Amino acid sequence: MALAQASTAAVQPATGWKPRANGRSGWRREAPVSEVKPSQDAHLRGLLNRVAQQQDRDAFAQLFGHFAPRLKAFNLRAGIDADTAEDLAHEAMIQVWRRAESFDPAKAAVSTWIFTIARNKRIDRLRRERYPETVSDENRPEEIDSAPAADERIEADQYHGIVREAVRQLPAEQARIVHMAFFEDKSHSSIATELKLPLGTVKSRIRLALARLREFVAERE
Amino acid sequence: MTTHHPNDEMLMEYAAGTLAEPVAVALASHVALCAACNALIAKLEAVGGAALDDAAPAPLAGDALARTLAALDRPEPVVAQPQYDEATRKLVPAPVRRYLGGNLGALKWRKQGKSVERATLDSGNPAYSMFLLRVKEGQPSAIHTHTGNEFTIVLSGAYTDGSQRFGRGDFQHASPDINHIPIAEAGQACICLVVLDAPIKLTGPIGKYFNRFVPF
Repeated sequence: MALAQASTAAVQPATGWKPRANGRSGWRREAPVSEVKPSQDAHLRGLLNRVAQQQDRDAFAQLFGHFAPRLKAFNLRAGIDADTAEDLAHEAMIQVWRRAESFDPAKAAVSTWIFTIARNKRIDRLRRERYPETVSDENRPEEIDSAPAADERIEADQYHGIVREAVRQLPAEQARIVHMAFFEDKSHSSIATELKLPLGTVKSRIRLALARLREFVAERE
Repeated sequence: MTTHHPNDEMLMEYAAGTLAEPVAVALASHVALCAACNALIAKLEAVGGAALDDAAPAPLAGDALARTLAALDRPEPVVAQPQYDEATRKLVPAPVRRYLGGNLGALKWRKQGKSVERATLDSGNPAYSMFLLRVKEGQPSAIHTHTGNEFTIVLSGAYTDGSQRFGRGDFQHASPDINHIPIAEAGQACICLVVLDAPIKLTGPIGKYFNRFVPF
């Protein structure tokens, strides 16, 4: 018994994680202080809308205040030097200004849209590659053009919160890999090398994580 | 309606931004034609959005905002948007078009045996090859095995590989150990986008002869 407890303790993540409630195995991460609430996404969407409709610099400055330091942190986590990390945040925010009109609130939360802009900028700069977009303006079906209905907006909004919550509920070893992939810009094979795990184990943990995310989202959709 | 999809790990690598460009192009072409994967990618990108939300803000240089505001009025560098004719737009998904170097009709097809033609695309990454493959209706493409991974997306027509049928938009990932012989369905030529991360080897008797001088 004592032995079992000791081995459980050994895999406990350092900080910010709690054993899962409801008797299931694994650990869940406590919500960080900087949590963005759905109402905050509505606020960010309002700011972005002012940028798109009126080229409102004050609204842009507020978006910058929220996102630029997070984008820099995001780049730093990928092992990018501080100057480049800040420069990429600057470039991503300029792109936010230029592309504000193409933001579609029915498709994504503001932070998800900005994540994809920052991701593509980073690839462009570091790998000198151009990342293909899955939905470009060219092949977007015409019917999406009209403004989203109010209920669709609520869905996209709630949906964002659900996904974030789902990531938080992942067992530590799965969450770690999801974070390394999204946050540290690591391929699955370099995650395997770093964690000294076989590639097959990394891939199976990713499959488990995605199955759990799907299940979690499906229960609440 | 596509029936063969990329696996979850690959969709996640796309969303996280860790796929190499040529493989990302293959995946994005499938996603452009598959509503289910399109929806899934949106969910996976929301994971990235959540990661961004949860990032502890890093302090910026004192003049960071001023610098960005000053850059807003600078004109955006003009990137010429190539226009494609209808035949190209109908057949080739948006993520692939820029690699054609023009319209579909201007592609240079090279014969590779009796029933197969190939048009090389510049993937921009020498470690990969990317090409369109056109196989005559009812004809097999060469029997081959891979030293690396092969990603195939059907753009028109269909092919069968063993008991499985691949139609427009379908995605096939053949891993290094697979030895297979896709056969174009009767009715029309089958055109596919193919991305390889290592040379393939033709394993049929004529293929072995071709291996000596076909540059992959």
